[in-house]
Amino acid sequence: MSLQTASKVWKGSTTSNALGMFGTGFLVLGILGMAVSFATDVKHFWHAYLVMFMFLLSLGLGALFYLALEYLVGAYWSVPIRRVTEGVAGLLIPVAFLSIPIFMGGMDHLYSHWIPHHAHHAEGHAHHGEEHDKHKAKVDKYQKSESNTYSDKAKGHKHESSDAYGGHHEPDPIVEGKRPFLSKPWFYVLNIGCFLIWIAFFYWFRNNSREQDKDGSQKYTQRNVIMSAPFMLVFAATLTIAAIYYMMSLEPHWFSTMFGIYYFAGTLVSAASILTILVITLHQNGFLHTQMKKDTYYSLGLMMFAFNVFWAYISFSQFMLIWYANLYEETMWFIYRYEGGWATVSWFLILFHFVIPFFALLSRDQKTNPSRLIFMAYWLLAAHILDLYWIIVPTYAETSFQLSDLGFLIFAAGFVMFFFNSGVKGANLVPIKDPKLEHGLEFKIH
Amino acid sequence: MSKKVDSVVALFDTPDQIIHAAEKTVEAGYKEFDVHTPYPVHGMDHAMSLPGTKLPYVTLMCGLFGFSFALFFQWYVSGDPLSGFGAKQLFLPYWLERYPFVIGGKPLFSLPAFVPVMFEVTVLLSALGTVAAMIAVFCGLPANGHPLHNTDYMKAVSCNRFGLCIEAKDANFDEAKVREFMLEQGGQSVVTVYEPYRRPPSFFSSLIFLGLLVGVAIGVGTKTYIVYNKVLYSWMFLWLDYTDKVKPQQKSEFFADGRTMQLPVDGTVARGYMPYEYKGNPEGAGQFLVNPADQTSEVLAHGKKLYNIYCTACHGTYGDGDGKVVVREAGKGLKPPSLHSSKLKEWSDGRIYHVISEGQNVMPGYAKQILADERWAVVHYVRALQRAKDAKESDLQ
Amino acid sequence: MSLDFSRPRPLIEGPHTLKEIDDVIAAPMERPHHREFFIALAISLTGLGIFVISVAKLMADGTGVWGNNNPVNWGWPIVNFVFWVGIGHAGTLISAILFLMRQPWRNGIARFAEAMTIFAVITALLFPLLHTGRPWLAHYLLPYPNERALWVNFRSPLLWDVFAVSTYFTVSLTFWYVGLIPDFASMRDRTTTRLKKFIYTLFSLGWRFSNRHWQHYERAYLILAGLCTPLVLSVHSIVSFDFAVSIIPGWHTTIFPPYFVAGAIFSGFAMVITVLIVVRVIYKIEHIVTMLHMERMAKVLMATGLMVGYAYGMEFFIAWYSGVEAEQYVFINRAFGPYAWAYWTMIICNVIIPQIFWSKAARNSIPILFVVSITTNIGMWFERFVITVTSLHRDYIPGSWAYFTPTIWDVGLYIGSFGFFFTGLILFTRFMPVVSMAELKAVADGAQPSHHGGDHE
Repeated sequence: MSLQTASKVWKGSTTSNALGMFGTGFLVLGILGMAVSFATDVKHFWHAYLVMFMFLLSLGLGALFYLALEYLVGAYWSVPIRRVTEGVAGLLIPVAFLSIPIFMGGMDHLYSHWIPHHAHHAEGHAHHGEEHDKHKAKVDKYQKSESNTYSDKAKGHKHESSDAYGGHHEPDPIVEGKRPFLSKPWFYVLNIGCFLIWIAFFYWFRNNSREQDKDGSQKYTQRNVIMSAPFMLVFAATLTIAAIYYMMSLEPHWFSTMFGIYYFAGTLVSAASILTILVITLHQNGFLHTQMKKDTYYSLGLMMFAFNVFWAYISFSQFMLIWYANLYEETMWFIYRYEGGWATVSWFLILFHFVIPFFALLSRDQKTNPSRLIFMAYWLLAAHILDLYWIIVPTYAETSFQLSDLGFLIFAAGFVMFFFNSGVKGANLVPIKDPKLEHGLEFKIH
Repeated sequence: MSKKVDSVVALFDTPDQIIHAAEKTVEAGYKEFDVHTPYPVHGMDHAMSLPGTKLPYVTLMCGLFGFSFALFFQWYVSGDPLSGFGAKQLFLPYWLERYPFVIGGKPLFSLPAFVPVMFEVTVLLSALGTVAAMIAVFCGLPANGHPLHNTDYMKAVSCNRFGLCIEAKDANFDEAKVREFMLEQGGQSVVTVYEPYRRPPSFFSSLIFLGLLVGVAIGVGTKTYIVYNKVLYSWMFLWLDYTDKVKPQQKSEFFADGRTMQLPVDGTVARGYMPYEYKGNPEGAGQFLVNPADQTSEVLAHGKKLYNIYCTACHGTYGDGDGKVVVREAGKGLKPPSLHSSKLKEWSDGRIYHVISEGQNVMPGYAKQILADERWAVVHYVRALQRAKDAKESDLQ
Repeated sequence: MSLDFSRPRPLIEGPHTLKEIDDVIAAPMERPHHREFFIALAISLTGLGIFVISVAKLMADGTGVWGNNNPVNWGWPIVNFVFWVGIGHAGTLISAILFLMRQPWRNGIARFAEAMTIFAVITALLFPLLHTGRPWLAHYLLPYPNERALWVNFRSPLLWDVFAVSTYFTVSLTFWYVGLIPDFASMRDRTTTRLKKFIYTLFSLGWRFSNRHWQHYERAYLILAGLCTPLVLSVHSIVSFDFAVSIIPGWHTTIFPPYFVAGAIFSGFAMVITVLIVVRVIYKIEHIVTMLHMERMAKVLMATGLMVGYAYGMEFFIAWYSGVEAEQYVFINRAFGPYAWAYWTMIICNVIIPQIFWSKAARNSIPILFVVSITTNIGMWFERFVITVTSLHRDYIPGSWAYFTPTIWDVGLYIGSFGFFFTGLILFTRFMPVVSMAELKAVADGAQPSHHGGDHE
């Protein structure tokens, strides 16, 4: 078999070096932009930072999920591109370090709604109070217009709690009810635990895969297959915990059982998109197996399309159920996004994230055309960032985009370039001795 | 050779052979040929150099139509879309009437609530449209009268063989040459298929089928008529309308006196309508009746309200006996006494209550207009008026 | 390790020529009626008889014969409806979603699962119709211009249900029929009796295996699969909307749509396993519906079971997290209230028992598969029961709290519905090919050219 010589070597290639260099440059530029943001509006900085963090996290998590999925269902077509998936999943390690600033300083700005108030600096506090006057006004406005009483006690809580938002030191009874969960120690423990679990699984999958390059033994595949099922269990739990902590608890009164799945759906879309970009670019530059066909692109396009529809299904269901029941304790989350400036963003999001990609990826021709696929992949990545922005930022502000937000985008791009490059350097870009590779290369849509 | 040739067919054993044969047939310049395989063989489209199917466009069109139709329909039916154009005055046939009711507090045009039906109609029309187009337009089915049917060739390709068929319509068709070509490609059982003298009656065009259609139409019509005009009005479906119940004015078979609505037991008192014990006995009322109402501000306010309604006309707003009627009808002997006379002040509550209930001299009784409890409230108010007129120093504290 | 990952495992055990595949699949339709068939039919007809009697009683006396009370206005009929719709989901999942995922092992079981879908959906549809009390007025549910100038309420989830289930039924039927056309044509050319030939000719539409037709046919099948995939998700999602758009604690929760879908696939696969275990033995198709199929279905069963378990956990967690007292009460009451027995039956059957499939030996053991598939369906029935009854029986007004007890007619209708379902299914196995001949032949050894003629490089 000529499998070993089928692709160019990545390590030391000009493309690799260029990617590393551009990545570093982007990282530096991005950090500068972020510094500007930090200096101008610290609260906005942290929310934008969280958007970027959740975005990068979703790339890593989605790729890790695809990695395990391949072993779980015994897929063949994705074997030739598995090293790329491993590279993207490897982003989880640097992303874990990105969470440190949130633990260290960002939490007090992001999760001020549930972090006990004595933890605040005096200066931050004043600022905070001002923010929450706006917030309170909104809650009150909505409650006045809403006579739909679900539980009188909870309603009572709401009114008391809106005082707590004003910066007084009265505890918020609803938040107090969630206290063991919404507390700093548990936030640290569970989130660090999640990262450790993900990274452990990542190393397990990747190391077995790389070991296989040496002797081609099937036992490595078997090992990964065995771990893939328990991984799914743990993954569902950890991803949900992360989604609830990082994003749902921004508005601690709000709750939705669907929220974990909502983030999961976005994760799948964005990971499929980044894989599409990387796989097509690498393949066309000769770094992946030459026998790989466009049919693999079709599969990637299909994944983007299918999971994007899944995302639309999940987000519509979540919205529709809350809209229909119209209970104030749930609806308030959507009210921020339903009225005022955010309403435009919401409508735009529907078009941008669902309607246009749906038609753009509907036909088979679109899904096999590399340049259009790459275009739609970038599009969907942008849509996912917008989706995260739409989830995170309205919890604190009516203002939306700032010029310095570009810094975060540049940083994210540099981050992916730099760490993907360094992550995949250690091995071949094709799992040359994987027993499934040969059949995987024969993959053909008919 | 009076039979008309339809085509020449040959059988092959493996998919590789048939792919090869198909490629050769294209190379030989035949256009009107077909390959028959028991299942779709991969790569055959390419070997036969078939153009891609246009079916997805049909699906897209049907889907878009379904989507927009469902949206329009729900908007029209649930909303009041024509009111803005003064259509209310238009005469609309019943099937164009809208149903603009607010249900569940949702707006008339509730897009999120319309999405499920929009989705379902889209899928339904796309699926049915695709299949109908595939069968009828793209494949030209049903075609039970095709000459290939009931041949050994068809029996073989429907099971396990692969067949090549070059049709007589083809411009290059020449029976002998085609047979030779087939044998060259390794075809077995090369056979010429003839068009039947008389095509076997196609099932769908036959009289049987027509008769069947008429039969079905008559059957369905009769069934519908019977169901909707007879069955639905039979006892089975109407029992809810004719249950064993009695109506107030019906004659009763059950009770001896024939009344459906039985009279109450003797001495039954309606709730809140205790009979007045002191009819024509003002002294008794004054002596024994005690005011049961509490002197709260609510009771007083209610008493005041009733007093202002019923009493002020004669007794005046403050009980001085100078009501509007008295002033207007002055000189007609209408002279209600002041409520502030010492006689009235000395009267017990029960005595005043009696007068309100029964009337006195020209004054009629107000038992019909004012409930018993309310009359006591009026008594309290009268007391309050009396006290207010002669307020003492101590009342102000 | 004796496992070989380099190639997919063969789908048909042993070498089989195309002709043998036809013979094996057509055998049940061609041999004379046999004893097993009549025994099975007798049992299912008994069930059908119970169904007919229960419906007759219902027609005669009205819905009062059921145990439904106030506040439990939705009792067994809705539980059974959701249960049967759920059973129907596996068919479309296997035929459409696995088709799109290019899982060729589906070919051995798709036809049967689709047939199950059809009969399960018909069975399911009967329950809401009967629950309306006047099923002969069912056409009022459809939006058509009428002399009363009334339109249906498009903002009601119950109406969405009418659209969803009837669309699902129609499209599933179409999908099933499209798959059957080539097989009817094969049967037409095999059969010897005149009557059968007439019927198969009628339904085969004169299909003649032309590759000019296969091209459109395959694309139509792909498109239908693509349409069925969101459809199958939408149907149970919309069924879940019936519950979730209300403000009843325990019903109103956003995870309901995917949770219901996962549960539906869970119960559907369980039913497929139960029935196929029997059918593959009776019709001697063990080499076509192999242990490979059984094992994969067991895996799907476990996976969907865990998804359902995730939803149970999430509901409990969010009930606590929400801080809404009514919500918290409902879940505590489910687990420890008067219906704790139903709740724990559900948890044990749905979450705990399927964990046995972590073991490969269990996945390959027919007795274990059979038992677990049945307990799964028991568990899934109880899931619907728990959702419907426990949420309702504690009304907002404690004065109207009540305990729901089914009557003999509830039970009769439920048992009878199995008779209805199985009668249809048994007749199907007798008169139509249980496995798709054309699809199975396409994945047999040597059925495809050794290297594809087309080159897309």
